[in-house]
Amino acid sequence: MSRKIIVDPITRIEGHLRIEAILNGSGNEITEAYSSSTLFRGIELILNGRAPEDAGLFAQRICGVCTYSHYEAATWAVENALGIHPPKNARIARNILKGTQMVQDHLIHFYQLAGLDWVDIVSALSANPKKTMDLAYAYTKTPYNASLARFEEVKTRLNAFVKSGQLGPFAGGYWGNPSYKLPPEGNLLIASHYLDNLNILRIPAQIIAILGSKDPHPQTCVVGGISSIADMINPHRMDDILFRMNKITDFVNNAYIPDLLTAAQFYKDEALQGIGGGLKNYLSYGAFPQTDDENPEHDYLARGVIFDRDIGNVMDLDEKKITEFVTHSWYKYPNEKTGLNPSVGVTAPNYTGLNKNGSLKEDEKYSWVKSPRYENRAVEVGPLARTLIAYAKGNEKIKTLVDYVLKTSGLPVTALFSTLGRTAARGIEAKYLADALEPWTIELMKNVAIDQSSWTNYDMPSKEIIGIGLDEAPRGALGHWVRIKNKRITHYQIVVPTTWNASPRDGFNNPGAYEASLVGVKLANASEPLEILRTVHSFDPCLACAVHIIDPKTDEVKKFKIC
Amino acid sequence: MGNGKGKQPLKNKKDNSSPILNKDSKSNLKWDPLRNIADDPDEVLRKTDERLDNLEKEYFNDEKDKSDNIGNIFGLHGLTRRDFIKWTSLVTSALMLPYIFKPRVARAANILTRTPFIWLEMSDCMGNTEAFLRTAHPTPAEIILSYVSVNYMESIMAPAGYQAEARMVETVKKYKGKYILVVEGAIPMGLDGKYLTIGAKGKSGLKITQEVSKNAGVIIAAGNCASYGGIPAANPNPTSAVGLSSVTDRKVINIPACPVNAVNLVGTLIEYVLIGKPPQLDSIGRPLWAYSERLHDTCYRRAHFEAGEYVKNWGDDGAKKQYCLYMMGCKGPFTWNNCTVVEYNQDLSFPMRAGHGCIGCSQPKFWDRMTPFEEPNESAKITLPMVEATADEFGAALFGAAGAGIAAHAIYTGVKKKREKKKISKNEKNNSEKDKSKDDKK
Repeated sequence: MSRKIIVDPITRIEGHLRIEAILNGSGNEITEAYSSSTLFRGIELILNGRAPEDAGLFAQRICGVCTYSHYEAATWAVENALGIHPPKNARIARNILKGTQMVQDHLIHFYQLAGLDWVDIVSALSANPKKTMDLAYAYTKTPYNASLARFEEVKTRLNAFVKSGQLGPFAGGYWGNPSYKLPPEGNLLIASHYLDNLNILRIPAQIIAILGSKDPHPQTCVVGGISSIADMINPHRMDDILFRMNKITDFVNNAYIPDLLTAAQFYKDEALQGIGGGLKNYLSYGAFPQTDDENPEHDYLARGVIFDRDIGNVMDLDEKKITEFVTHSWYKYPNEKTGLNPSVGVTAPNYTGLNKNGSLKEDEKYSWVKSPRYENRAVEVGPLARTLIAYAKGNEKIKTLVDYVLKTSGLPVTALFSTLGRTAARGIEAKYLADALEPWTIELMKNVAIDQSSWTNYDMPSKEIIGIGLDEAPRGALGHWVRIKNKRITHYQIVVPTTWNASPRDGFNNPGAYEASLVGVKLANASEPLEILRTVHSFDPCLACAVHIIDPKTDEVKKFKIC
Repeated sequence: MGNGKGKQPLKNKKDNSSPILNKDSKSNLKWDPLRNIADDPDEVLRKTDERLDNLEKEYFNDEKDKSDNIGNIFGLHGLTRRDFIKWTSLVTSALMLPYIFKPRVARAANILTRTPFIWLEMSDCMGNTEAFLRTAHPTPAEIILSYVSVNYMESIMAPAGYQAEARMVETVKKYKGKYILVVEGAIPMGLDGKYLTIGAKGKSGLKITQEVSKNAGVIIAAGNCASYGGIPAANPNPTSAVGLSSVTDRKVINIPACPVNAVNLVGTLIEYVLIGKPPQLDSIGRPLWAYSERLHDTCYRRAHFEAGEYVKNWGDDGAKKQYCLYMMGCKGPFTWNNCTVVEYNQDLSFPMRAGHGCIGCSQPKFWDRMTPFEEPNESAKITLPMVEATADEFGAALFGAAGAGIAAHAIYTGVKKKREKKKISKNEKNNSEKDKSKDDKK
């Protein structure tokens, strides 16, 4: 007989997520999985009737993690509706803001959020610091903060905590689970960088503060440009940015990438078996415009679609092929078997509850997340999708990085289609972006010397205008759809990365990316959902983003009045 | 908001314009936090020390455990004792405590690392958590809070599912009346609270908050959503979200802003450890030590306001010269907080410094009352009732009487002069009220 396990709350993510998994009778292998978001906020509805200039500041509050992404996508959507592009200075400054934020996001994910799925903190206590040194030098000549004294210190201090019974957030973890594969030394090395990363994380946040005023929730990306021109023309402030970027690249090159390779060495088998691979379709909107007309063809992160893992064939993206289903989501549609494009999206909450025992009604509606599909197919978005698309499109830098990682860990390209592959793609992307930050900053400093424009003038017309902002957030493809009339927002729809990845089944019963990736995952111990966390975390879930609502005409909702 | 003692500071302020000034002429003490303990300075110190002694006895095994604790924590994170001492100075001064309190702040921080701590996420964006995890001003704050004493914090804890739930149940039971509760996010009341459920039994966020609040030692609402409902509660409030103080009878300390400034949260916690009760609050539940100054009064661009020098378009000459952002919709004149003083991300910046106006994120209902954020306050019909308004009076009066308010304010400034001088441009602006575009302003 099959058994069902419920994991709620899924911790170390943004937002509120539940996973239910059906295990097969004899072993502990997952045969079916269901992903449910358990929080609903309704930010798009709140946007109705607001000034278009405020859209970014509202949409930004969807998520405090990838806080800049929504800000930019909303601003792009309004700019797209107006038919304007920001001046070069603003375009570069925005790229710096978002690039920095993405690197920061990837760092926090690898160490703080997902790290504990791969690293056994308690095992680190029995590590030999000398051997840890060898491991630290395995993939870099200049490992980050690695010395015998440092490793001994981390070990002693960690020991002191365990003895005093003060494990804090580490308490109650799945320490000793056989699915942890790193030797004690590997655990100590990465645990030590886990701690270093806490100090590193504030550096990208500082860069964002200088150009963006504060982090989280920066406040300078205005429709038509950026407001922090006084900082951009101040060499002192720009230097403050540059020297911080060096610290970031140092950490990425000498901690993040080597640690990733260390993990790959010991978790290789998982990747070879394709554990956590899931869906076979990938999508990216592209981001980081490199030309002043913001043509997505030249984006630093490539745009495209791949079906059936055919990396020989990257298709062009057509946003009209995107539809959202609510068949298994807590919303109503006139016809629930078909999907709707976000530009005409409808959302009317229709909460049908849980079973009496608290489990999901998986044959009916079971999540606050809708199911976006591309050509009616479920697709994965995020760093893996982006890396595969860039690789397939022949992006030289990405190709070099991917080939290096695969060669060093002795894995074939197909190993990318796995939980480990997804984690590796994120690391590769972090390096690809970190390497770009300094050149962008220098380009900005040079340009400011000859041209100080930072804002494009525009006229907000009274007639109806429609705009789309297609962007890439750290977790994947992010789209904002806006309709404006009489200088007020009349319709707003957001399809975020986690909506794609965490979506429940659609009208054709196709599972979403999380659900598909969990099938075939084996649990070493059915009462400890460690392997589920590892695979779900590899997508870097961000549920606050995923849940939204839009429809000014539903009965439940009062008409918005402008104050 | 919500707590019954709210009216108290308002009354006091009628007698005295500044809430932090001492009201008792007999004493030389100029700080308020201590009045919370006792009137006599010697008594204050005696009581504080007694409290710290007791807490140390409770949370540390022995002298060695006590003295090694901070060293262990900081060593682990590559910080020195010197960093810690610097940090205690900063917190002591931020709390407006006298210098003699510095070692006591250090002891309180040490105790804080062992004080059980629950962080609940409700209808939120995790921005307040992130404010700790990555902005970390000052660095020791995040370490002390997030990485040592935390018993339940979904965003960083290792266990999930049943094991995570078990941690919360255990903490609530074992440390009844002692644990610190921080809530992030608004509480959705719609659907009987079912817009948010947590745990395998599908318990509503509302129910969890109420249960955990009941036995907490102190309750803190971090960020605007938890304090006043924030963005989920913005019109039309689809999930009927409310702030924390609306769902519990207990006293709630509100630390609003979007996101919360870590300095204000940590300072409040330290003060709680020091004196065992919430700091003095204004009428909407905010600690006076952090929220008694109006941003407009402490802004480094204020001189330009007085001189009538304004940014009129993003990226114009005034923007490059860092002129006043009032005409770009800055809500600094309507907002009480200390952003301009403590700044964000290790003193690096805050919105006005980066050329964007304040959006009023530490005020209740700012998503409805302060919008449109980027329109000049006059055309957005957001006006100031009186120049000398304090936070309490202002909260009551604002937006009730829209209209002539700003004129009173402007008499003291260049605004009026400027307006009379440029009558033509003013007429243009009036037209643009109906048909607003950034062009018209040029």
